[in-house]
Amino acid sequence: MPCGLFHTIYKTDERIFKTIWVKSWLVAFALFLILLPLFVRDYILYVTNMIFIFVVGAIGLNILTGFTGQISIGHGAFVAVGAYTSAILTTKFGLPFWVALPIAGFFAAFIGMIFGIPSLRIKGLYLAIATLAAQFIIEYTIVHWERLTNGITGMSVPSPTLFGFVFDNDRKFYYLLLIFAVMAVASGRNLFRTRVGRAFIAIRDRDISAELIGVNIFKYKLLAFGISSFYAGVAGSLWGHYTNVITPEHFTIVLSIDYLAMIIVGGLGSILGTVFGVAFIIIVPELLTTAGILLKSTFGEITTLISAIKGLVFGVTIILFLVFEPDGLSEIWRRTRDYWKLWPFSYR
Amino acid sequence: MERRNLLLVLGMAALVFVFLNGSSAYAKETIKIGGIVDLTGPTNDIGVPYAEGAADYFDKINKEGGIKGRLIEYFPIDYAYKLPQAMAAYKRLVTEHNIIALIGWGTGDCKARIPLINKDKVPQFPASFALDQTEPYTSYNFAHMISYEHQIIGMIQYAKSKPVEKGRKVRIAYVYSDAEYGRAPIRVLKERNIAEKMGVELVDEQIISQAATEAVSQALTLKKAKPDYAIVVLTPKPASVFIKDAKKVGLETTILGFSFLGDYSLLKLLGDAGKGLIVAAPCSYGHEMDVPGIKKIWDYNKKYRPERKVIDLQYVYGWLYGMMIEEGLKRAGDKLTGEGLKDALETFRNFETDGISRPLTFTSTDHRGSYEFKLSIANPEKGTFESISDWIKVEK
Amino acid sequence: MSENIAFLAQLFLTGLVLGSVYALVALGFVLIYKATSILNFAQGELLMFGAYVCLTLIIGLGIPFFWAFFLTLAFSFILAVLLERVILRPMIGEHIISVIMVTIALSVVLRSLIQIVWGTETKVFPRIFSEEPIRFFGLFIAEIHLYSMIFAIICVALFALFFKFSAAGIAMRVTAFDQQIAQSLGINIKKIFALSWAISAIVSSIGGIILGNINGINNALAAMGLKVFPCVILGGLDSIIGAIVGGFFIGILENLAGGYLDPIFGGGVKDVAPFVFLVVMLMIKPYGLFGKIKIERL
Repeated sequence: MPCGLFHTIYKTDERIFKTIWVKSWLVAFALFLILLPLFVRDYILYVTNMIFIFVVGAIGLNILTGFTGQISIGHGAFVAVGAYTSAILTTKFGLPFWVALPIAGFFAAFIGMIFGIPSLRIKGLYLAIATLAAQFIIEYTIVHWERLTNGITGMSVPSPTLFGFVFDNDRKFYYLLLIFAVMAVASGRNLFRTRVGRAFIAIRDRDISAELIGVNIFKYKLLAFGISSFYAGVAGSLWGHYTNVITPEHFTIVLSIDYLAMIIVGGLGSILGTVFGVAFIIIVPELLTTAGILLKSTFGEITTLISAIKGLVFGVTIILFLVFEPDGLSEIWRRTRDYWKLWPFSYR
Repeated sequence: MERRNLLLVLGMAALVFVFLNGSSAYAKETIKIGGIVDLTGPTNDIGVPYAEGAADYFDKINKEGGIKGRLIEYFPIDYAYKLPQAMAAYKRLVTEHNIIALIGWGTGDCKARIPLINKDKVPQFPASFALDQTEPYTSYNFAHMISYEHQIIGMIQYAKSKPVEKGRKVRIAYVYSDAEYGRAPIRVLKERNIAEKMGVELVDEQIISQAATEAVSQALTLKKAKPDYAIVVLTPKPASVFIKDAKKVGLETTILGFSFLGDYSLLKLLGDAGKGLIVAAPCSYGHEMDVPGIKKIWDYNKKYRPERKVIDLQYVYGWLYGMMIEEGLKRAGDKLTGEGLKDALETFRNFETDGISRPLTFTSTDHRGSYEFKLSIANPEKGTFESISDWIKVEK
Repeated sequence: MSENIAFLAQLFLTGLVLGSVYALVALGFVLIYKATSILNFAQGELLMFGAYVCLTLIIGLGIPFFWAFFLTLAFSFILAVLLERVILRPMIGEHIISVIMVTIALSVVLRSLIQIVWGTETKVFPRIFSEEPIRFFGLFIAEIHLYSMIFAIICVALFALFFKFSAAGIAMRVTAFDQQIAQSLGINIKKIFALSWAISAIVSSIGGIILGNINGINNALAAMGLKVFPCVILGGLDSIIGAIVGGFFIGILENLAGGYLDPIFGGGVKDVAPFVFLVVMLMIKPYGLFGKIKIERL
């Protein structure tokens, strides 16, 4: 194994999969994902499907917050916009899923850009608070515009069909969602090899300087909001068509906080980290619920405590990550990988 | 640093491995029943007793030897009144535990699950008595007590029977929750124009948020409309906020509460403000010891749950579902599946519940067990409710 | 008095009562922001903590209200100092989003802990003030509302005076202005950080005790932590006067919106109106009425 990577031209430096080892691991992992449904229970597929859906949304948020530095506590609201748009288009207007999904994404992007307009005048904490307000306002609109959204009763959303093939169970959805997740990860990663992506990073690092060198920060900030909300909208649409029912309760501030937790635990500014973060935040509560059911026979009261314990574990984990490993799981991964890459010459 | 990370990774891998593989260490030949209940969410003040009532009845069945020797395995999952959690819990119960019956709680989530329970053939027993749980008829949803809407109709009948000044109709107002259990009944009542058909005047309606900590502006607006009766469809938490704030602003009206307000802890919260509160009671209260069924509840609890000092109305609802399920399973004979249970339940004709409620009837076109309730008035000093009427039957 | 004016006045009055509590909580929030530049998402939980602890002291241990009150403040003080030392101190210098996330996570942890220890039922304080309304000028105000408001206003005034005139208060203001200057003057900023958290917790606890007395305690009180944002944006994130004015204003706004707009929009306006107002404020005057405008330098 080489001790390091020495690139002499930009092309090789820019490559995402730099060495033959990385490529082979990637193929192995891909095979694992493709074959997973064959030897695993339905419920595990349900969890994996959720991970795929949230990966799409979380990458969006990481683009906005991790790469462009615009703090958003309202991501859940944009997911809601996507989900409801898609639901309304497929139920009230009879459009097929494949048409509704992109429209939902673009509409969510549009709404995202509207709420990004304040970013011209305010930044940092103030922007964060504005996105918080966006979360509540969008939530209120969804609950009260009953004629459009059915209010708090929620809407039932049909499963997508493709030439008569109906995606109505976990297994079928798995491959569909896998494709979307892969597309999200690939497009997210590639975004930062482009001019737009570099502009985002420049804005995060020092936006006034970026403006001085000719980056139109307002345009790119809006674009960041738009792209991020597009991902959110797609994730929302997928979520709705997968679970077949959506209500305003799905999209509260808790969802926004969950997304934030995912990218922070995973690592801000890291696409790979996003995947780790999503998996972590989704799997841990499931493990706790299972533990609660298994332990029920010994500790009768545990069912009531489980939800409080979930919250406790969630909060404490985040705090531990933030205090001890602020760069998240991606950093831990990088260090572990480097350790093995340079072994037995790794130093510490 | 490495060792810590390595341990972390290994630990997580172990957990994931266990999760993927460790599962059915459960005994064979048991009857599996699931529960999706609110233990920690905004309606948990009444959710917890309900969940306990059902769980205790299943435990009682097991203590008495089970159904023809088969024990019941009951899996309650707390969903904290959040629909996404309810969905995940349902998936888990059906695919991991293969339940044949489901104890449900909230209006919103039980309704959303109807297509799923019909597809999976799992009978559901919601604590929500909203009319749309059973109308239109749906094969796998069963509700034992009279619906909220019918309770309100019955209460309006009562309101009409009390005289007011000449020359005007009785004035009523709806005060309800922004959650589905509040909105659904009011929607039905307005769609069917009940107020007008019954000859009363609907002067106002107010919405109180489920998590409200104050309701002064709503009480003030209500005061302007001067209703004689306020029909309240709120669980105890927001109801106490509303009723107390109503008193603080000097709103004078008689409160007619729906079934979930028949709660002892509500009276404790209200204190003096609880005077004059009238509640619809679809079944007997836990303190009415002269009812044989209630006495049986206390017998069980004195023996196995001696720390329980109070039997809430909601506990009785859960207990009643347990009673229904036990009888249904017995009648199902060997067909101990969801479908078998459903067919067995549909043979219930005036099934006696030891006096706790009116006899229950389920048919293949109507899954609502009873259409009757009693009116009761709060007694703040004793902290209980006393009946002021006999069983009132409300037509469909 | 004509009915409509009475209605308006009544809403206004109740708005003042609620606003006085908001002002108290907003004060605590601004305090932490001023001293440490942290947005404290856990303000609502600090409020709940105060209410629950006070209740346990009174009902569980039978301590009379007077002493229980001060004991609660002591507990809040200790909790805050602990939190600051263990969790917030290591976060100094970290990315702002991490700091926000820490307080959010903290709020979840505190809420879960409170749930584990005290459960989720609504609990009531023993009756000290009656709920009977007092009439004056044809308006109603419940005794408990009146005394709560007076109490809150006194507390607010006390703390405001503390900042303006006491040595510790001035030290805090210097630290908020410029940490290096403060250090060069010999002020121990670590102590100032701890002190600001402690006072914020104390102030929130008082708010919690007041609110708990009015309508009982349960975990819905945590929502106060979010209500505080419109108040401080209106007043300015780093202005104490702003927090007070903002608190009263939002209390009144909420009630007026509830009274006049709820019937039109079918409910729920009360809760969302402060946030709409927040967005408007951010568009026209992001630094609030009294906040300092930040000039960014490269």
